[in-house]
Amino acid sequence: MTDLYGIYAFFRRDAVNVSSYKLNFVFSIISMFVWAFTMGALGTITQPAQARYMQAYGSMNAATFLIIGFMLNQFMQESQYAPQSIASPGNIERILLTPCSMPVFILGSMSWRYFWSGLNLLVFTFMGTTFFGLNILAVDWPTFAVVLLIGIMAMWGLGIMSSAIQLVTKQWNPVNWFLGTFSFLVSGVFYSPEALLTIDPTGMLYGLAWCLPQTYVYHMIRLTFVGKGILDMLYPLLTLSAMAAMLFCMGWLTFRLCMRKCQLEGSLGWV
Amino acid sequence: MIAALNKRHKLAASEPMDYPVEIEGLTKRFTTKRTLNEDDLGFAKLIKRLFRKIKGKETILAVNGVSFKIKDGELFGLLGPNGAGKTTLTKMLCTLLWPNAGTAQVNGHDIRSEPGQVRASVGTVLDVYMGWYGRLSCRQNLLFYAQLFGIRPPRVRRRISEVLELVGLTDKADDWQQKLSSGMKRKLDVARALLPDPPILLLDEPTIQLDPKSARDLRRTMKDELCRNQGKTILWTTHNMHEAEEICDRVTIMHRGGIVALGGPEEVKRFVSPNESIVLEVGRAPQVMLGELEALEGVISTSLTNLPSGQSEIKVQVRDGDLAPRIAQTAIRHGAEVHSMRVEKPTLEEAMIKLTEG
Repeated sequence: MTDLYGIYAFFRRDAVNVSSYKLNFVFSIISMFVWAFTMGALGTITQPAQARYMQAYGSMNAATFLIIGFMLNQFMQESQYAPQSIASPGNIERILLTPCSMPVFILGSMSWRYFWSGLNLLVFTFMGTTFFGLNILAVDWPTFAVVLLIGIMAMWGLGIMSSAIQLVTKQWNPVNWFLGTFSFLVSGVFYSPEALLTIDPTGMLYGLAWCLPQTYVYHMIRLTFVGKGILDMLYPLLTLSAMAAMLFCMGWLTFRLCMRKCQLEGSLGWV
Repeated sequence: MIAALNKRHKLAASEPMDYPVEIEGLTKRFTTKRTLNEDDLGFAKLIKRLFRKIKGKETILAVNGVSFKIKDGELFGLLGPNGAGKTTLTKMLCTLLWPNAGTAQVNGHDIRSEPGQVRASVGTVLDVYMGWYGRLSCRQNLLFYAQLFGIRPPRVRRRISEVLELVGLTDKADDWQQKLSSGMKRKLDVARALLPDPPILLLDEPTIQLDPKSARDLRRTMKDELCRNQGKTILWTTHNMHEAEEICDRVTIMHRGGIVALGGPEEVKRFVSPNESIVLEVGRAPQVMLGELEALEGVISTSLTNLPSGQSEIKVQVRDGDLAPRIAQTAIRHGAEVHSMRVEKPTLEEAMIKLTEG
């Protein structure tokens, strides 16, 4: 209960702060609608080219494929980048001076971003349903929730690891660089990873795609949109769970180690 | 978690202890990589440096085996020149920095093994304006921190109003933080430290950027209201020696990471310069008068300086300022026109400069 009160404090702070930029706030919401429509339009236009790589998703059309990919990408990116915001020097020193626990600090710092991503998800779902044939009645929602949660856990692991490294390096971290550089290329936001085999017959990029947790998330969530449940995706789900457990533990450990290093060398407040 | 810490903190706070802050041999070393020097600033060398590791590390002993205790309800001044180690020591006490050696107990909690309890016991003012959200009002900013301190709704608004009033920001409560002047932002830093009503305050230059009146008001609030009436223990870091003389019960002077003096302000001044000086500005100063002044009991030395105005200044160093009337009588007897006379007592500023020069 107390922890929820702490998380609410962060949420309220960010909500007040963001909504104080009124024009930006309103136009960001308008942008969600425009992006959802753009993805739907792009999918419709590229339908003939995408169709042969989308056999795993049955009757799903390319517009829906892209809308799902793009809205999930928002969730995955928030999970990856949100922990980094806690590593800003002035922020972390001030929060550390309160009795707020580290999990509350991290979750609280991310709460507004998830709320915003949730709003984004609603807008994309609405646009997809209204204009591009997305069928929300076919979705296996419990499986959807499980996959999303496990995916978020995995991305948190990476995000916490990257913010930990950035506490030490201050400006750059290899995790975000890698994900930021390769994620759109291989993980299946705009096209199925199978399409990579046409441009890279060696299969290296395809193999790389299945090393990233978000590839599993995009794949399985799309399956839930054509009515598939947990039992239909047991193998990828177990793989993603293992990845999430491993990345989360590694992230947390790295964070503790890097925090200790900064406290020892006195560089917590440096930029 | 927060409630548990606060509960523990209240238990600890309810049992007054003789020394809420006890520091024993606290040491902090920083190892830093060698930075670029002037010779490295050429463009070609800078490019070369991107691909080659800068060799050499430097170890700085920021705090060197510091030990002292702060009494319950005491306003304790931590003084010293820039780079003496004051902020590093404060940061170790509030658990932002880990010491390399030594221990410290804050409100009965060890800074290494019980950092959460330490944080729940202290209010800290550190670097200027850190951790604020410009487009939140002062009240909204304080509400955020109050929630993190676990202060609950029935009390939270009242507590925010109380601290805003204490620092004199009531009329700015609903203004955006970014609209405040530098001094007001500093006051908000202090208000945040006071929010959880902690038994111990660690204040690193709290009056920096305040105008003289605001600084005086804050000093009075800290000394009279928080220290005397509420019994809080305060560690006050400052460069302003007049401020330290005015409010501190005891002071310590740090230099190059170590402590060079510790005691009441008067003790520290006497330690460095036990004597006072009586300074006379005279129109004419016969040599024989100086000899007679020097022969007076309690006079240590005399010196004569010719001023640009054509007058002379006689400085008589004495063991006791009570000698002033006798010195004046001697001067008048010798026909000296005494224009002014003053007693110069040693100041904390002189003491600090003497202790830290070289």
